[in-house]
Amino acid sequence: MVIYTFLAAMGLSGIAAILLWNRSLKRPIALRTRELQAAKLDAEAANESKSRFLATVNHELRTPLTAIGSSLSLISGGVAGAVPEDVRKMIDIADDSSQRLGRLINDILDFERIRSGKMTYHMAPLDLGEMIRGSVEVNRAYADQYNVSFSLKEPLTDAKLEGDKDRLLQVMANLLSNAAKISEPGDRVEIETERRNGTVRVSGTDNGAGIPENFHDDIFGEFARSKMADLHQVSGTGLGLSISKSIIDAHHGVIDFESEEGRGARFNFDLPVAAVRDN
Amino acid sequence: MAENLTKIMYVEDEEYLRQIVEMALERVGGFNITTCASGTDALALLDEVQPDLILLDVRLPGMTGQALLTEIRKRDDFKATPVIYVTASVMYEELDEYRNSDAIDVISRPFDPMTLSDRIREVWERHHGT
Repeated sequence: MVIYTFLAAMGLSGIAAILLWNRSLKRPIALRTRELQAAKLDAEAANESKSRFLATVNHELRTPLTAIGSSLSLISGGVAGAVPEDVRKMIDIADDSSQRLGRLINDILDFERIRSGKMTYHMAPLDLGEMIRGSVEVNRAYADQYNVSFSLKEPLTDAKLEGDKDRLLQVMANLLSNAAKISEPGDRVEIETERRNGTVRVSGTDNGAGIPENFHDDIFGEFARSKMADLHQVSGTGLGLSISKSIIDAHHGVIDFESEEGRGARFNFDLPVAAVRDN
Repeated sequence: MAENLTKIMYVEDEEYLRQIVEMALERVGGFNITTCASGTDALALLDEVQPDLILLDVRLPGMTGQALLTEIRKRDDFKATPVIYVTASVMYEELDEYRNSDAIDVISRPFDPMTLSDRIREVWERHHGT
């Protein structure tokens, strides 16, 4: 009723003006809708092409790297004949460098997967203590290069949780390699596991150069490299901690650290009580 | 199905990888290796070689590893020949897809050529339940 009264008051010319205005509005809306649909298709195509690019980069970079690493492994394994000591040293350098390149490729691919939301996790029941023990063993050889030792305090034996073992091992490898790289030769990195208010905490403490306070807020950011890392000529992309944080986030956990410049650092991650099941 | 693992066919388009795996499996593992650069080559050589096991690169140009496996299974002599996929992929979905296929295992690249023979022998023994 109100509308009719309103229209009558406006008269025919007013109604015609509204209809024209309405038509003039519809056109840009239809146009905008088409533009948005086109943009959506473009974004989907870009996403698809990015996935294809990732798969191609993965394959094309890994294939020559496999050939390099495998050839070096066969040579140092004596398959092509006895290897003189001097040559072995050179082979070790080449092998170490090719492994470093492999880690770099993995970091860049993981970083891209996280950014595009394509990082996937395989959650399954796992024994935390066993996982930590295994990761310390696997990473000992890396620490040996820096003449750094790992000391693992008796890990928890009764902590079962739901997690992606490979990805959690990746976090451990990142934290342990960082600790080894920043430590002085002869230093020891302490690794501990403990229960805290129903959560499980894994921590690694080094006596290295520590993290400058003005870098504390950025440390889990992308391409984060502190002045200390540059000063100490520590290698890496600065993606490791950012990737580790994403992995711990996906486990509904928390990753954090305490450090003072010149007094080492302690990195830890906590996995929440919801993910932890007692035996 | 052969009782002992002696003859392995490796299908891989990358020449360097063919040479490396051939050297690793022959010299370290003591196997008899036949390498093929494509699915077509592999199909042409199957009857002659009669492999006990086939190592198959997933990402072959032209006929893919999966398409090749389908073709291999059409041949009466090779309906049960164990096949292991080799892949550079680290994507869970892809690895699961390969694991859930007709292949008995999946080997990811990069692999250590010095332990590759042991790994293959282990997979073979597990498959035979020994």
